[in-house]
Amino acid sequence: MNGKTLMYILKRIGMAVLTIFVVVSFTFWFMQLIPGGPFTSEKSVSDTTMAALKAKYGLDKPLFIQYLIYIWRSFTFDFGLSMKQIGMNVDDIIANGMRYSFPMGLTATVIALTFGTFFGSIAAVKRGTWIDHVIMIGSSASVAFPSFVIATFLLYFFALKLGWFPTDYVNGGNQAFILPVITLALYPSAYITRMSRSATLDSLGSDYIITARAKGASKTRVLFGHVMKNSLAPTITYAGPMFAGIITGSLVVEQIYQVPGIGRAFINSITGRDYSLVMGTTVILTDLIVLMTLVSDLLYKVVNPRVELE
Amino acid sequence: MKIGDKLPFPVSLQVDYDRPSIYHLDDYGKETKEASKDEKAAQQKMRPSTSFFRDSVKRFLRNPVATTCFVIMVLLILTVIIMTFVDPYKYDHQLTLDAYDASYNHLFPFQYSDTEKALIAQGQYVFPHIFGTDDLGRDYFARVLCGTAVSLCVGFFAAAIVLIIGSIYGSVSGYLGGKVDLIMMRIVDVIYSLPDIVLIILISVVLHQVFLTADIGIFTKLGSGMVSIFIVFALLYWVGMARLVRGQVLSLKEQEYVLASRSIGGSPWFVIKKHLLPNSMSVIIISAGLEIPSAIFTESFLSFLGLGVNAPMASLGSLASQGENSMKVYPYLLFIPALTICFIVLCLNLIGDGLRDAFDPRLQR
Repeated sequence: MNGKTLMYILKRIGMAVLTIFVVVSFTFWFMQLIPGGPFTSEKSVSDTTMAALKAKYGLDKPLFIQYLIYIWRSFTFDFGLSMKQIGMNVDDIIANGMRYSFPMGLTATVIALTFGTFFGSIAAVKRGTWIDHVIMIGSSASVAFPSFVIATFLLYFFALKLGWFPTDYVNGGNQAFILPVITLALYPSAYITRMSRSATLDSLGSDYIITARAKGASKTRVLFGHVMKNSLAPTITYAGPMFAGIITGSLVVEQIYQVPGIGRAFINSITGRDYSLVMGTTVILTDLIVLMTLVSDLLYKVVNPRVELE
Repeated sequence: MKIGDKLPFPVSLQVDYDRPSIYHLDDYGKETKEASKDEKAAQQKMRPSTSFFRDSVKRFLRNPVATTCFVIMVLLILTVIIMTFVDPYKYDHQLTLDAYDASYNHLFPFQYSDTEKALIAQGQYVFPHIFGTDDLGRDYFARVLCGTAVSLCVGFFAAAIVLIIGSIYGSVSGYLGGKVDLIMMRIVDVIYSLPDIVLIILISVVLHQVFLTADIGIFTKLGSGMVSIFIVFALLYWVGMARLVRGQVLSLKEQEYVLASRSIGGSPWFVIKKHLLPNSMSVIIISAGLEIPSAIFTESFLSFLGLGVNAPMASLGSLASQGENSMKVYPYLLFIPALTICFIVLCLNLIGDGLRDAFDPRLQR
């Protein structure tokens, strides 16, 4: 690792910290817009109880001091107690949600990568034939389907009409996760298919492929040894942000399939003004996205050494 | 031959520049004839000159998929406009309350309520409920029409916001260059790396809560989802456009005509407005066009989460969301708006792809 690379990494880490800072600050000040507080409810609470509650969660301090505490906590991952779910630690709530969201996101990522590269490469190799057309039409259509449409359609046909899959995600076992995972994987699969098709086409047209073929390397060997090696680069770098995107984007899918994942925790936390949980989920999701982007950018350099870092 | 000498052949003072000269000095004195039409045509080797725009349109029209989608979209928009006037039912009108006839609720497509059946028996014409009615006895076709119009408008306006902010920011940054450019682009970098979904949800949930208690005129009417989409597009999504425009401006500002314009005293704003923006217009408009389906997508997704337009207004997403509640019994209430969204987004995506292929000469194969 030379000085230039180190500088680049340091700069990127600085940017990542800045991004998290901006998101956390924005979250804090924006949440102040909502009328009422976390302890406003139909039941009237006596003034002393309210004061005690506010003191317990530090809401009695001046706004700016609250903000500083908020920032400090978001960088130390100490989110404290939830303000709405009594006696629950925010870290525990997030961990509970992740127990569902993480495996779902990971499976969907793996499926998307496998199918995407497979179909993309086939479409490129068979360019202009009916196979290519079918794959490209399929991927254009999948990109146009919002996830809630796919989710409701799958739920309607396969769970309600045909009864193939259970819909209870707490006790349903692994089978219950098949439909949500398919829903989550469809859009990224289609995206990777298109990306990998154009990367493979680029690679197929290069001089070194012609050289390899001229030297007598078989078609299979050229495809797997030469073409794939280069066409996989963009896909690999896309995988990290995609994984983060699937986890954050899973909230609609979790809402429809009633999966108690992190996405639902996030929405509930904002509507309930559960400040500590909002902070926890926002920081975790932002960290995830920023970290994955950082890793993928660095990975891009490893995969493709010709790229100059700036 | 000196100046002032009489010319050896008659010269008409009226020179017809459009007509090819048929007199040559060599031919002086000889009998000359104007070339026949065929001979002229044989001389014409150049094809008529075309502008970049016309050329691109021609390329676009040669793409059958994109052209079909374009025609379909135009027809769809026309249908929405015309049918809104033709359809006697209004999107927020509860037919049930007119005649206190509960059979108006949950009609299947092309079914009639008891009141309407009686009218038909009397020989009156009753406009059919093309998509049936919903749980409150509102004509579903009228609601889908309203939803389609709302979704399309959201798409166009969001794209317009991106177009305006992105192109102004990008062109200023690219044109001024230096330190200003550096700072402006660092801001873009930070915004670019913000997690959009997290912020969209945050903004729309907060606005939803605000609008529930406070009445802020037109904004409350539009609904939190719509306003937050506009805010999010104005806050976050213009950065891609800004980068694109900056790149265009950077390459264009080195051109001679820009130097010429500056040397005769053109102010930066004048140069940007007069030279740089018009020349990068096609690229800008196409990538703004690609924002339209993305905005429609986002709006439907927010509406589906219940953060969209306020009832009784309808967007395709909110219709699908309501349809999902009763999808076991009345699946068409979900399927019609859901498929409409897919159809519109698919068409717009294909049109966008076609336009990009047609207008971006670098991609020509």
